[in-house]
Amino acid sequence: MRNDYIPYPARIVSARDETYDTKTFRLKFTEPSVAEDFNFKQGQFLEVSLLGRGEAPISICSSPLEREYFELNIRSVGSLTGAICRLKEGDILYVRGPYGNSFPFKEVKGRDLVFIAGGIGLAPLRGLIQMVLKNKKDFGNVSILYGAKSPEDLCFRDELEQWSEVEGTSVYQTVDRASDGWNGRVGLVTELYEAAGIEEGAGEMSNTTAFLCGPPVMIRFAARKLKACGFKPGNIYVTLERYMKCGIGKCGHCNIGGVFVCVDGPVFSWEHVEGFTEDF
Amino acid sequence: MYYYLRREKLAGLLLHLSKEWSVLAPFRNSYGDVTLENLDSVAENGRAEEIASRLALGGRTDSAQLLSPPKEVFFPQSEILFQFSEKGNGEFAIEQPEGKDDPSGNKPKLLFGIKPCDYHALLMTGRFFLEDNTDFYYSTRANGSMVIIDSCIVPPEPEACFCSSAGTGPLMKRGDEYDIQLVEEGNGFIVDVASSRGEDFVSGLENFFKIADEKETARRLEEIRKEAVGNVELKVDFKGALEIMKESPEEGETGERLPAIYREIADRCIYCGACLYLCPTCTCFNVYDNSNFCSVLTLLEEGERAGERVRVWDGCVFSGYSREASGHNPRDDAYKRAERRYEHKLRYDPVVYGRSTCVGCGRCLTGCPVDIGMLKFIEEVTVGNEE
Ligand code: SF4
Ligand code: SF4
Ligand code: FES
Repeated sequence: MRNDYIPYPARIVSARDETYDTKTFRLKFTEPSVAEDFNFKQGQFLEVSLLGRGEAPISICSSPLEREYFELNIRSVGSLTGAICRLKEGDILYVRGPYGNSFPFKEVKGRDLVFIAGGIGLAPLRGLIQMVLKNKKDFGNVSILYGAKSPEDLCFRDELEQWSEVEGTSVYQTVDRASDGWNGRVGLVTELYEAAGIEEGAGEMSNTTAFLCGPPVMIRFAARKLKACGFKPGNIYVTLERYMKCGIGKCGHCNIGGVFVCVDGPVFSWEHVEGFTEDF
Repeated sequence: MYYYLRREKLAGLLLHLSKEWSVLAPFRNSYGDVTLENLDSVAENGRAEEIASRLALGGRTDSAQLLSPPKEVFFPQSEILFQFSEKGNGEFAIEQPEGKDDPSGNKPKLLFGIKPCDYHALLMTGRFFLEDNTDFYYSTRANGSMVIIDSCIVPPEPEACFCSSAGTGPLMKRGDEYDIQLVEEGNGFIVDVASSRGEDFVSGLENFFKIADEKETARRLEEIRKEAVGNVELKVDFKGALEIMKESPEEGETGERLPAIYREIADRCIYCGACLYLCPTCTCFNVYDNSNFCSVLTLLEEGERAGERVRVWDGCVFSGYSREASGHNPRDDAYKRAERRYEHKLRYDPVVYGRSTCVGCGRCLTGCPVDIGMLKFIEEVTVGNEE
């Protein structure tokens, strides 16, 4: 019988500094058969181990269309992620998964899309953005709204630049606190709504789907404002985070209300979760 | 079919069964506690006499509740998920325990003498761990196992048992999902064999199980059931509580009553976790690594880099349960944890599984140092409901 708790070695092909505390690792399973069998969907996550230190859930930030490798964006926040961020090219991580459900893709073809991300919340959306932009002709206008604490906290800067050059795609960025050399906007990510044509009283946004990922407070705030701007809750997708110990619906840790984020999520339609009384 | 098993044959039966099975039965230790013990460990010290004298079986004359619930047989308090040792170039060899740490060895387990409430709980934990993403470890330990129920004519904990309200006891009914139940009668037990698996089990054991008259036994069982139900004096409005919990926790009458109850529980609870460890349907666990190269404290020997990944029972009342690496904790407020504890069992599981996962065993009340428990909770939410 398959044992879902056993992780497999994956070698770090490259490690790129994203910000002062965040790195993007490109990985490949060392065993060819594992690499071959590894298929994931946009929005899914992995359980990533540094054996001896522990394991944490990390969303895959690369596109599922890329078969040669997968990427993880990891921010050093605790002892485990701190240790992982000290790893270098050639080092090994232990990985199991993928877990969880996925963002709709085919289902939103033909629609306008808005991606709203805070901090490293851009990572779980990045694979989907890459997929969409690769097939841009199948979609309407794409807006990417990205906010971070400071300019130094913005991830994937080169890519944001590239994305903004794709036809019919706009990228808007903002920071909570500016620093020297920042000429861009200062303020909350929701303050970018207007620039992207999302306004109160502008009527129903029935042809637009929004994807939302960021810190817990931002999610509620940003989703409520989308609703106020004419989005139906069913057209807003959020991806939630939770302390997770198994990824397969057994340990109980990721529970909110009647759902397990690891198996029923991490992607939820706002319709499903807006009534939850508990914090995200 | 129905059979009869004489009490004096019990020890012999268990010893006989232990050739094929790893027999686990309720035994009383010298302090009076009743725990599920492996027959091999009991029999070593005295064979049949020792077994007969320490066995705690019989729903009328020796009705006793297991101190800790039987879930621990399939889901031990602590178990090794795998061991790892460095094999060079940053890779580790990973070794699964493959049941080597299971005291039952390779034999399937026979749980002999489980109370109906605990049996219902095993059905629930079995379903939870085995369906949708089968849990390898639970499945390995539970593989081929069988349960023989020892039904209650007298409740073992009259102040805490509320199985008749929870719908899990005190006796099993034909049509329920079970193989064999024992019902104490005279100097032995009526053996109610309810499934073909149960029939296969008793066939070949004619020495122990004597065929009993079908009609007469059925009639007598009905009589005992009525008596047993009457003996469970504690009655709570379980259905009423489930109805109340269905409503939105923040609105209406529920919205007025529940917050005050949760607040009181949150204030009084000392977060020892006893209620969760003792609950036969609580299944939460934590996972951590123990190694000789980065654990603060380790019992492992120094040498090449090696360690193990362990899982241990965890519980939703602990403050660190939902704390994320960033420090963010959606259930920082004890109120939220109290709410979770009761809503999981009474509000969400009925939706997901079709019934509440509280089986009415009463352990959370008997084990709580400050007298909080599911029973008290149900009484409080249903105050004012008609009987
Ligand atoms: S909640 Fe309490 S009474 Fe209900 S099954 Fe668990 S321990 Fe027993
Ligand atoms: S047993 Fe009582 S005090 Fe201990 S955690 Fe449970 S409710 Fe709190
Ligand atoms: S992470 Fe264990 S249940 Fe979801």
